[in-house]
Amino acid sequence: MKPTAKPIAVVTPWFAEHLKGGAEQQAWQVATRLAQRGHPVEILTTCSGSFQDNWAKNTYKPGLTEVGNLQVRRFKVDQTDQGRFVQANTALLNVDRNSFRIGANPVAPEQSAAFRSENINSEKLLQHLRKKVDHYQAFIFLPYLYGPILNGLPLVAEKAFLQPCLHDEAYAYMPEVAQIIHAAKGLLFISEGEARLATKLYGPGILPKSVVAGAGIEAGKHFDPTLKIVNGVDLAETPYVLSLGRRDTTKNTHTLLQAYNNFRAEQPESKLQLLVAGPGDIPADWMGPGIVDLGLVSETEKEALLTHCQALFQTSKNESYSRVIMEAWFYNRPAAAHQDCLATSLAVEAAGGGWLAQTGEEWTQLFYKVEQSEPALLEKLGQAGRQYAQEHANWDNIMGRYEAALGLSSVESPSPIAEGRRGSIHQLLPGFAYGDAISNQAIRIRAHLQEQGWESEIIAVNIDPKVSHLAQPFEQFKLDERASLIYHHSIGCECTQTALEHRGPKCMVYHNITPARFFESYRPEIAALLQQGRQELGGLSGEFPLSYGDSAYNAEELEELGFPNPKVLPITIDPTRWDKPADPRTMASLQDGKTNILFVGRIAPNKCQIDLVRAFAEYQTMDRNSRLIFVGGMDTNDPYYHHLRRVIQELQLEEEILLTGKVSAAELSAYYQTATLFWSMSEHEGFCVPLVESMWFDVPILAYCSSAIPETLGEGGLMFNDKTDLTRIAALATVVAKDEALRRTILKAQRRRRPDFLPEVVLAKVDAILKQFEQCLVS
Amino acid sequence: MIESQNPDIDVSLLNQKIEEALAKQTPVVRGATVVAAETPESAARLAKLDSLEALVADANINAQGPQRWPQKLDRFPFVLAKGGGAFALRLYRFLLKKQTVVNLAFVRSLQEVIRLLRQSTYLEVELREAGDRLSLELQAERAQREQLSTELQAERSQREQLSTELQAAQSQRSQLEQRLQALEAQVLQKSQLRDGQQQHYEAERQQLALERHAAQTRLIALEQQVQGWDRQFPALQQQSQTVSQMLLQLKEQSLQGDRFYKESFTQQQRLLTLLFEQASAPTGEAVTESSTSQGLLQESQRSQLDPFYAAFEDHFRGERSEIMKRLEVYLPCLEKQKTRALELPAIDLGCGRGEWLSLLNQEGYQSIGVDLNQAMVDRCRSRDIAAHHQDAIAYLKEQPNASASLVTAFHLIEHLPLATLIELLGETQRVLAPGGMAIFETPNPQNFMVGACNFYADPTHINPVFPPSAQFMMDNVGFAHTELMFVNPVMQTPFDHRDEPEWQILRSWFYGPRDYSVLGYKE
Repeated sequence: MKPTAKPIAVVTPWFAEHLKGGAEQQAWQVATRLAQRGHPVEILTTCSGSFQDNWAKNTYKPGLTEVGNLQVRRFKVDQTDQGRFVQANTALLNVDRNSFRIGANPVAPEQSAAFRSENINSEKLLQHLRKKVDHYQAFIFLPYLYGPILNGLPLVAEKAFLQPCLHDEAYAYMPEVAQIIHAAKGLLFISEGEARLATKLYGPGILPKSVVAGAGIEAGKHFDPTLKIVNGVDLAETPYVLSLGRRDTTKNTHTLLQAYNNFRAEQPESKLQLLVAGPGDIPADWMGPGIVDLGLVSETEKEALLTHCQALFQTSKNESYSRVIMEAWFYNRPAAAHQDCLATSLAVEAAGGGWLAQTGEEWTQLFYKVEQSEPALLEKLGQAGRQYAQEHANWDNIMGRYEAALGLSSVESPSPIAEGRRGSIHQLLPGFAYGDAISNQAIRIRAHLQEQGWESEIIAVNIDPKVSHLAQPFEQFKLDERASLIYHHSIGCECTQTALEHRGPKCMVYHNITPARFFESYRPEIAALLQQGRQELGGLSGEFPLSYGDSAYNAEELEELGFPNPKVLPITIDPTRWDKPADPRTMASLQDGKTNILFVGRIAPNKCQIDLVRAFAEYQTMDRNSRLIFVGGMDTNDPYYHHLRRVIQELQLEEEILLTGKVSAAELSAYYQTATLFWSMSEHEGFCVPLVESMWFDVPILAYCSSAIPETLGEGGLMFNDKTDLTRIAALATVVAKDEALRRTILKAQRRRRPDFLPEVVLAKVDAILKQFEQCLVS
Repeated sequence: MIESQNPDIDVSLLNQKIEEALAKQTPVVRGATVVAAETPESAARLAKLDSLEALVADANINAQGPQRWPQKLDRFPFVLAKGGGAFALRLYRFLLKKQTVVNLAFVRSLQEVIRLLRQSTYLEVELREAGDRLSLELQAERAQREQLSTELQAERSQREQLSTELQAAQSQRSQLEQRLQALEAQVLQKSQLRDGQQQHYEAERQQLALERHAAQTRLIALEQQVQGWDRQFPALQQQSQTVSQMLLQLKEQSLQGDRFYKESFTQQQRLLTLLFEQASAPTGEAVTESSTSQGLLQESQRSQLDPFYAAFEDHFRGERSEIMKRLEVYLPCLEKQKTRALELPAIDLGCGRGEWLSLLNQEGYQSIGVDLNQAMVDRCRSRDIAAHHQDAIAYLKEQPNASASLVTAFHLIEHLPLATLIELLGETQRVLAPGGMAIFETPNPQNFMVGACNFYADPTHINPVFPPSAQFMMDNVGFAHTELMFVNPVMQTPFDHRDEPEWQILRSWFYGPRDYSVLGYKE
């Protein structure tokens, strides 16, 4: 570590070792441990004492003090309008949980603004941030709820890392919070569950910048091996299931006790007991034989209980971190979590260190399982959990992840190469339009080329005025002979000849020509063009030694036409494009409880939107409360469009079907976020970017198996191969939309598939192309 | 149908769920059709019109004419100065202006035509639809009309049926009326009969009432009589009781009197006999006490009292059975001493009415009584009890040593002067066999009532014997072992429920044991 390294700032409203709150403890732990590992750490906090104190009162003295190996800089708090704050806060706390809508402010805009402005605040702290941003290497802001974070993060956004400590509460839905989530350079989460919640609320755009650092636990500090008896129960002799934590209905204690009573009623001879420890009272009518209420226990007793239990059951649905489960795993004991609680169930599933249950009946079954399982099996599960816990809840590993996220690792980032030093590579496209997949791909490739030191331009014949600043018109561009060329080919156009005749290194990226038969009944002239294009394609085979298809499907077509060894260059889909708030109006209007069925794609005969409309009419007989949304460009002069409109009218589905036309990125994000199901009846796709986009937004996919679709989907999504029985397909769609287990399975596979199209993966292939070009140049 | 590349998806389960979803299908009810449905011909025509429209749109664009110098002609030898190009363009356009206008007009009219065609297609479809609908409605009307006529027929036949039923009902009604009249006449007859009967009953009832009244009065009189008798009854009872008591007393008295006179008479007889014997007998007979006139006189004097004493005893001693009961108290002493085992006779001195002897006989003892009172002796003998008329001491003196197992004397010793008493005790001791015992019972002077008052009921008593003195005497004559026994306590005393010592002392003084006995055992 360089002695003159810039400090890392931790910005938090209260800071002291004795503070008991979760966020305060986390701040203390992270700051202290970072400092222990040799990084200079400075705490930027207020003079307020704690969460319970009056937020306008200064308890500490302002200024810099040293606490252990930390520098603590305190700033005086502002006098805020506490009345308005309390009003806004009360309004937020009173919002009904069921009325939370993603992307929609749960309260009036004035109230959420008041929440931010009259929150605990320190103008002096904000000034310090503005002035001294360059003095610090990075900023860690935690937690998300308070003035210094809401107001301070945007000031230093490019160096800011937010550790939100997020819960599914009204505060998280405020646009002010969404703003800092999107503004931050990086996000640090304490559990997979918290990360999942954040993705749900703010979109997959945050995924590339999110890190699940985890929170550590220190088990074994109070362990006393001699303690065997707690409250009269001999822990070594009695087999028991343990439950730790507050006992009340919000933590689902009654479900646990009811499940045990049912188990006991069926198995009165069982020796398995249930020990329940923690604060809060258990009403007498929840108790039963075999249940022991231990009340509050000391740390030593808690560790003894954990060591000897058969298993730990955590029935709560309202957890942001699975602390007790981690603790159980440290003692090699298996744990059971509630399916509906993201934080705990994800951990148990990922670790393979226990079981999941949802209904009371399933919890009763778990008691049977624990009783009947071999001790060796329980031990094995516990060990799996321990491995996971050691990986995830181990402070050293966690701090390693922090260092990686903050960019503190000693890996040197390569210095940028001066532009243009290596030569020029240009891209030639027939059409360049806003929102078009191929155009986006070209933009991404160009950015990568420029980063790598190449001069690169996009040359196009037809340029959409909206993005005219990003491309050069074909007629005016002078293409240098020695420049390398990447030619994107779909239908032939004026530029094809230029590409053919280009002498410099070149490759062709084939984006597939739609088969003419789709357009014959609608646009015979376009059908003719398509036919012609296919014929011409064959003629190009000799001229392009380097050829790529978006998919293997496309590459096969090239191969059939005689291209030598065509390879695959998939289209890249980068979720950071959605790292901004989704369109609020769209979000508000689509979250009304209806099943939202989405298809994204141009209104075109090969995409078979009409088939989808007919299938949707059948779908409505099984799920009346639903709507169908078509997002994609449409030409009002297009006969297919007219036909589609007429079919919708015929079937009287005008109210239920939405045709949006072309939409902005914020609106597209909103449609994906509110979609229940992505349903494609398309009979021809060269790649189908919307499939990958759906995967990022965790929208399960149901698609007709054709062309490149199975290849893009991989193991994700679900396909069918027969379009004749629309009712059956519609029934399948209802199952995918409604069946929780099936959705989970599909989404799991989709999450595994989607990183295959991230820029890193695709651009690596582009680098291969560049190497080829370099070789050509040399030769 | 399902094609899954995901190994985690269970396709058979999925098919099951599809079937379940299909089962839940409910048709959707939508509003009335707004737009005419397509027929295949109209759909084809509309599609055709669409493509025509597209062509016309294309033509429209082309009809505008080139706006700028085409790129193709930017090469040699067509490269002209910029201005030249524009000029060439303007020229071209000028030359073709008319054509352009014509083209545009054609385009517009074609578009209009297409629009009209489309409209007419829609209208056609609508008309056809309407026509279909009307014919359907007509059919429905016809069907309805037929249905109504069949219903009317049904109604008519029903009406006829109802009228025949009505006629039948009417004839039934007249029948019923006739029957009703007949019944009414009957009823009238019956009620008249009933009235007559009722009067008759009424008369009888009145008579009965009178009789009852008379009976009641008599009953009351009787009751009063009975009550009067009831009142008198206790008094009568009382009287009869008194009378019977008096009778008993009289009986008692007469019995006693009877006995007294009988015994007196017997005594007199005896004396007279003796006297006569004496008078008639020659002199020179042994001079006995009884043969001397002195003795005789003494004897007669003394024996004169015998019947008196017997009667006196009857009056004052108490019932025989009661005495026997009291004497039973000594039986255990005899048992203990095993007196019966000696097989020697038991002697009762002063046996009196023979209660003790009866008792001994009952218990199986061989016994003999001795009494100086002839009347008493007679009584004993009349009861089959062996008894001697002799002086006790004299009798004893006649007995050999150790010849008796038991010697008893109840209420004897208080009749004897001291010297006689001691002599009696001495003789007793001699006569008893070893192992035998003697019992002497006498009134207990420690009971003041007895000692100061009741003792003197018997004028023949001399003086009470002080218990320790009696015991001393017994010891003195040579009994090996003596003891005192206090008997005959008073059962109910005023001091019964008083525990204090003072009251107990009073109790012992006035209600203590009324008799005691001194027991002597010979070794």
